[in-house]
Amino acid sequence: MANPRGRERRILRLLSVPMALLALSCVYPVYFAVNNALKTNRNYIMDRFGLVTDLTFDNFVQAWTRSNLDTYFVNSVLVTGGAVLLLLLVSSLAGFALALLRFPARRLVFVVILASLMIPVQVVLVPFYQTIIGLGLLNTRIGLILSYTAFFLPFSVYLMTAFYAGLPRELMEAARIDGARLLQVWWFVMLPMGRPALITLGILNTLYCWNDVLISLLVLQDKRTMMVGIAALRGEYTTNVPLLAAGIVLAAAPIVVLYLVFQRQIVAGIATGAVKG
Amino acid sequence: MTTTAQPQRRRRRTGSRAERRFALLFLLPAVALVLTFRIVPLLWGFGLSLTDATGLQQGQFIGLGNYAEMAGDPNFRAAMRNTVILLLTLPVWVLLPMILASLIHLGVPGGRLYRSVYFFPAVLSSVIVGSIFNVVLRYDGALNALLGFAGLPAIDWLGSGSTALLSLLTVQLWATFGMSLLIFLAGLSTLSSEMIEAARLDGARLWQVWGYVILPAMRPIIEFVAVVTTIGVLTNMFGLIYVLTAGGPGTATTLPEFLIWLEQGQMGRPGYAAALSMVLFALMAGIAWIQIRIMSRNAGL
Amino acid sequence: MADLILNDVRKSFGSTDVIRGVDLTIEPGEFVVFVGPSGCGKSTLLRMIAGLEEVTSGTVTIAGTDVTEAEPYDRGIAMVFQSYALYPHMTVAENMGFALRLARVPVPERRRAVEEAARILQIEPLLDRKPAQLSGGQRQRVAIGRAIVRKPRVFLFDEPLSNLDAELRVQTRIEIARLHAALGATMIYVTHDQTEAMTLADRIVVLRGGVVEQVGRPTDLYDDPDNAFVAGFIGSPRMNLLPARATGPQSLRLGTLDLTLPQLESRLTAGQALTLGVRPEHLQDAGQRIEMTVDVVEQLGSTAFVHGALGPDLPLVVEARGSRPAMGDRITIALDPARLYLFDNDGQRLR
Ligand SMILES: Nc1ncnc2c1ncn2[C@@H]1O[C@H](COP(=O)(O)OP(=O)(O)O)[C@@H](O)[C@H]1O
Ligand SMILES: [Mg+2]
Repeated sequence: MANPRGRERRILRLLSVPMALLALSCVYPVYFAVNNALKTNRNYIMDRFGLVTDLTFDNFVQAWTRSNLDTYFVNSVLVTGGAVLLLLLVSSLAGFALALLRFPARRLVFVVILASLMIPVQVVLVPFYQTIIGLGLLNTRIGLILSYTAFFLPFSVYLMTAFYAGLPRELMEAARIDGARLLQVWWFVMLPMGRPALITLGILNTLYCWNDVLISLLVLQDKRTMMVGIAALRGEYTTNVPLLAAGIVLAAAPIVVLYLVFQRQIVAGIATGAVKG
Repeated sequence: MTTTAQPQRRRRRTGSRAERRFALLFLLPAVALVLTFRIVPLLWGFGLSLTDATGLQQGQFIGLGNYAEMAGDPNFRAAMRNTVILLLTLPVWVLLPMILASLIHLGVPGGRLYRSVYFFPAVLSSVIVGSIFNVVLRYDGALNALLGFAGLPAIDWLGSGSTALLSLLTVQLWATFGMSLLIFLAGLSTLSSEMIEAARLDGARLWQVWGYVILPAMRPIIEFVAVVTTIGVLTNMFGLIYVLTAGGPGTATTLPEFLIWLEQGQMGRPGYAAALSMVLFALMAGIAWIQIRIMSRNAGL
Repeated sequence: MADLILNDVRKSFGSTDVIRGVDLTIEPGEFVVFVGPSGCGKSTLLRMIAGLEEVTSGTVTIAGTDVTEAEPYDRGIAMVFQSYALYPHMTVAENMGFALRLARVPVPERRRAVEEAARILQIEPLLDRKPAQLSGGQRQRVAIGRAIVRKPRVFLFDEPLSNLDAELRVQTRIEIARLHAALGATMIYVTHDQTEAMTLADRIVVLRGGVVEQVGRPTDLYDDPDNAFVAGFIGSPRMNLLPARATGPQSLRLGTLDLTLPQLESRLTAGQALTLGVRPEHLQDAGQRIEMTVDVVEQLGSTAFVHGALGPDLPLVVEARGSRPAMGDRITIALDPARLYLFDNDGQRLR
């Protein structure tokens, strides 16, 4: 970094003011959601912007039970958990094969998987929906798990391939000489060695799956995930902001925890994606 | 000698038998998923786009009928107009995070804190961001209250056609600039600090260092962010539109991806929706082509 | 029965032929070193023996079984890699016992084997450490230990010492020789360093451009090279190779010097272009005398290597034992016809 001096330092200090305001706006959602979720509806109507005066936890109870967020939450946990595990499994297998094994059409397979990045769900909305119906996966969690895996896979495969390609090939060769079949090489060597990349991918994919709304809207039409539930809550209770805020707090809590605990890994994941991309 | 050696070359396949077999096995899940849910649907979607399918009914082949219809469809025109406006704002989407990243890199006070706070909105779901701003941007919402505090008139941000698109784009920008900022910071951190120090020793001002040393070295990252952002605004705004404006008022905030969803679900016209999808795909493919050109140029090819 | 037989083994990467027909038989217990300049295909040949690289054509037989198509783990071999290739997430003990774990050897037996190998290599205190906590020399030992634990029929080493510093290299070299004596196993060892080859090998295989130039005991290669390449590669400092021209069936001219080689069995044709070889250490004793000006002296104490020239384009290195020549001195050297090597235009030896 370039050490700023004298006048430069003063200008930077001045520029820090608007940046601080922007930073405030970035944490404003936390204030909005938590503060309003703790208000009674009356309290909210009387004072929409101020700090809570009439503290209640009723909104959480109501959102959780009467608005069905409890089942939505369980759905989201199951689907996100399943999809993330499947993503890690599938991408580490594929990354191992693409980076370290020699077989015909290796480049072609890699390119096809990467090229599918150009096919987001909107581009295949209709046929994708019909595929889900045709496979009998509509309104099944497993259907959503498979869909998430298919749509978030290319980046994961790319990252695992890049990661494994950076490992010395000799590690695999040593394991093979030690008597490992390729499946054992993957299990005993590649999986433990891939830990940093797998952690990063685990976090990023958790964010993507938990936050998704479009794919979930298509595949889980009656069961609903958390985000679809929040969207519906917003539509149904346009006036009951405290209830909506409570739902938001519940829906965002897992992500906020991830953000707080794994900030380093998230930053690293985005940075690797960028630098390598 | 060489002529007698030729017929002896019996094995010319790549990799050992075990490697080929396991590679197939290991790639099968990934390839099967991508084929089933993305590539085959893409081809199928192209087929569908040539039919007048409605609901779940198989449609008749109508050739380019759907594409012809688009030309006269006011909703499609609105979506395209909105897309063009969106793409025109692209410089802001790139410049804002770039300038902020540069300031943090140059050592603005509080930079480390800003860095971690700025990408907080980016980890939130667009549904959550949309729900919050849906309240904040109401006529009686927090933003107008703030403006009133400053003596400015209130505006119906989401309710009037002239500001709804602007509001949508601003919220999306606010929610995603942190990601681009991280990408820029990652790029900046790979710049050699010796280069910067050398320029400083030559007496360059901080701003001169930025303009003459940092900026030129950042070109590949600027291009990368531009491409990623373009893809993002074309395909990642569904959730925000869905909860913030639902495409309205009228068609003021309808973008292609939202229109596709409307035509497939609400309107029950999968054939037409598939045709719209093909247009979006063409856009995506164009951008991908640019991206590949940029990447191969940067790789010195 | 031979431990390893290579029969016309060839390897191509795409259209480049890397190994161009190698035939070799290795007896049980032999220590064979593949030596040659970098890029000549030593590692490729070794990896084909290990099963890490497919054979384009030809066969590999280990202990009487054709293993050309076999997987590495079915070949009864162990390999020590140049980079050691230790598993970073396993402790030293886990690294060494990994092969036995895969073979489902019971834990107590596995521990016994690991501890025994650790004792042989004197790395017992390190067993619970991770590779990252070891020095280069210690990692090297663990890599060897991992090979020993498996009790393989054939040990393969690919430049195992090249990542060590000079002192450790000599020390480890001696230990590998001791290990070979203790285990009595067949060892195949790849290096580009002819000193390692000379000191370790029972037999040396000199490779160049994917072709075996000569196979033989170290002293045979040194005393009786088949061609100019082997003559120049084996021995340090290297043999002087000087252009000469035949003047008669047994005589030649080197610069301004006329030499006669009475012991030469081949007959030269006058005017034939030749290469004359003479080792630096054979230029001091008997023979035809000639004076040379000292350009540079490499003084090693016990001996000194003197650089000079017999004429234009005839640089010569002379070992001057027991004297302390200085730059600019004139020294007398002796060309003994019995110690001259003669090679034809293609580098083939003329005896
Ligand atoms: N996987 C490969 N693909 C293409 N060429 C290779 C490959 N591995 C080795 N080579 C080439 O084969 C030749 C011999 O390599 P190698 O056996 O590693 O030489 P060395 O004698 O130094 O160990 C080199 O020219 C090298 O470039
Ligand atoms: Mg080598």
